Amino acid sequence: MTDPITVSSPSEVLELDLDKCNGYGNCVFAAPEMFELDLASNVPILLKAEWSDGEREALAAAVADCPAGALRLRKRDALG
Amino acid sequence: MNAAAGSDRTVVIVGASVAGVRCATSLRNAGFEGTVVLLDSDAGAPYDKPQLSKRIDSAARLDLIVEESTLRELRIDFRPAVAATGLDLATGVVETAGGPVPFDELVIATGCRPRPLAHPLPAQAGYLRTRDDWRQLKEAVTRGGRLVVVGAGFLGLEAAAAAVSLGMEVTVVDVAPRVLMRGIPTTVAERVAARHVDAGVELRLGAQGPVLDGDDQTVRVDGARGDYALVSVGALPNVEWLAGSGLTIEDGVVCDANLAAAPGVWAVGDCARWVNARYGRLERHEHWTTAGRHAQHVARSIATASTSPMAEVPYVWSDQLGWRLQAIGRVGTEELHFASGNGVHLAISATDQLVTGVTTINAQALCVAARRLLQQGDPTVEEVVEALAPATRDFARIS
Ligand SMILES: Cc1cc2nc3c(=O)[nH]c(=O)nc-3n(C[C@H](O)[C@H](O)[C@H](O)COP(=O)(O)OP(=O)(O)OC[C@H]3O[C@@H](n4cnc5c(N)ncnc54)[C@H](O)[C@@H]3O)c2cc1C
Ligand code: SF4
Repeated sequence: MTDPITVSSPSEVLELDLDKCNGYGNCVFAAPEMFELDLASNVPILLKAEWSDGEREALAAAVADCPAGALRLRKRDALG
Repeated sequence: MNAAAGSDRTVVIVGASVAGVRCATSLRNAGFEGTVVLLDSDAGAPYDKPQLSKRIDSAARLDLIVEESTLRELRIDFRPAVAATGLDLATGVVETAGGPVPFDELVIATGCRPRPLAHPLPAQAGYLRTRDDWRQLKEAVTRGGRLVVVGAGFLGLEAAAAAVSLGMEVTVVDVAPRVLMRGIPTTVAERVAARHVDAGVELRLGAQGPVLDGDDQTVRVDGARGDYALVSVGALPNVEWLAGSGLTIEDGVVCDANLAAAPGVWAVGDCARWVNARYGRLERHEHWTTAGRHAQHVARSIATASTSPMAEVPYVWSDQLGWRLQAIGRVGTEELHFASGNGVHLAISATDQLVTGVTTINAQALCVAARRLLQQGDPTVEEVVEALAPATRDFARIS
């Protein structure tokens, strides 16, 4: 089990679980500003460390478009 | 609509699979504040279909599309075990066994069911589309013996791959002369077939029209004898409940480019036959990604009270025997095939020197690059060969 890669906005955290990711690439098309697929490893690279309110809908679409359930958007808790 | 919130409006979504659920959650993500009702004839929480043919070991659990608690948090009125039986457009009402459900906007997301064979199936045989179908298949896999798969499409081959990996003997029967006739070019289909044969799957292609018979214990298909038969010979849209509604029904709910079937009535996912703006023609896809993207598109249209055409290049993936197969676009009349020493394949399909589709095995990033190239229109073969280097430069050219 690898720890998920996370990036966050002030209120939410985006998690990418590389154990689940199959490199289907749907996230790249739903949120091109956030994701790119790495040619060597076939897994996504997160292009940004944070996102704005305006980018949130595309990000939510990327999470829902992931066939592998590898992306998760969760509320930021005290620890996150 | 006031601030695009539509707080006094009711959206009724019929069908709570990937398209329906996605439409409901996307409405909230897009700021829709009105009432959202989500109906499904099935009982239980919404689960995802692609796993049904990929995970059939006895310990497998179904991943849900969404937790019911999340639906509650999003104020989505989810009503399982409620089948829509009719539609009255004049009064804006969906008829159900539990009484009429009024709507301001209706989203039809009733998907598909398996195409049935002409005769009833014997006891030890089944289709694969629902949780119950999947449980029955899993039980057969747990008992072991020989699985006969009727239909060498994606679904059938995935189940064959999973079953042979779990120690079953497997025979795949199809009337077609090769596997994956729909959507996959010949060169790649041959590689996939060879992979199955290597894994111990018996392929019987070019078979007679399948006729199944059997008893309580066994099943027979065209001379093949098995302990269970899985029939996967295509799908039909669930649109009978719309007969007489005034909507145009022809192999699906016929929609314009905006996915509208009538004012305030939309169709999304496997049941929608819409004017795909990418190709300018009526198409119906049976792909998970299209279903979700349709739903998102319509949710946005409803939430913002605006419309826009939906353009979609078909995209499918399939996981078989450790191979990741992906196809973007369509098969053409010509094929260019490249292969590397370590099991990566790339096939470029073209018609009249324009690329209609790209198929890859174990090359996800290449598939993303190809998918990008195909978004706006069919690029030339040169453009694609150039853009997909180093693969097209360094891999062996096979045909
Ligand atoms: C075994 C299997 C494997 C697959 N694998 C892949 C894959 O690897 N990649 C890929 O791209 N695609 C795959 N697909 C296709 C993908 O699952 C479909 O494209 C997707 O499920 C379509 O979603 P949908 O919501 O439009 O319809 P469906 O998933 O068909 O759902 C329709 C829903 O509507 C409900 N319903 C029907 N009639 C009524 C009614 N009258 N009233 C109320 N509710 C009703 C049904 O109960 C169902 O829940 C696979 C499909 C199957 C069956
Ligand atoms: S959509 Fe999901 S599976 Fe595909 S590359 Fe992105 S994270 Fe991975």
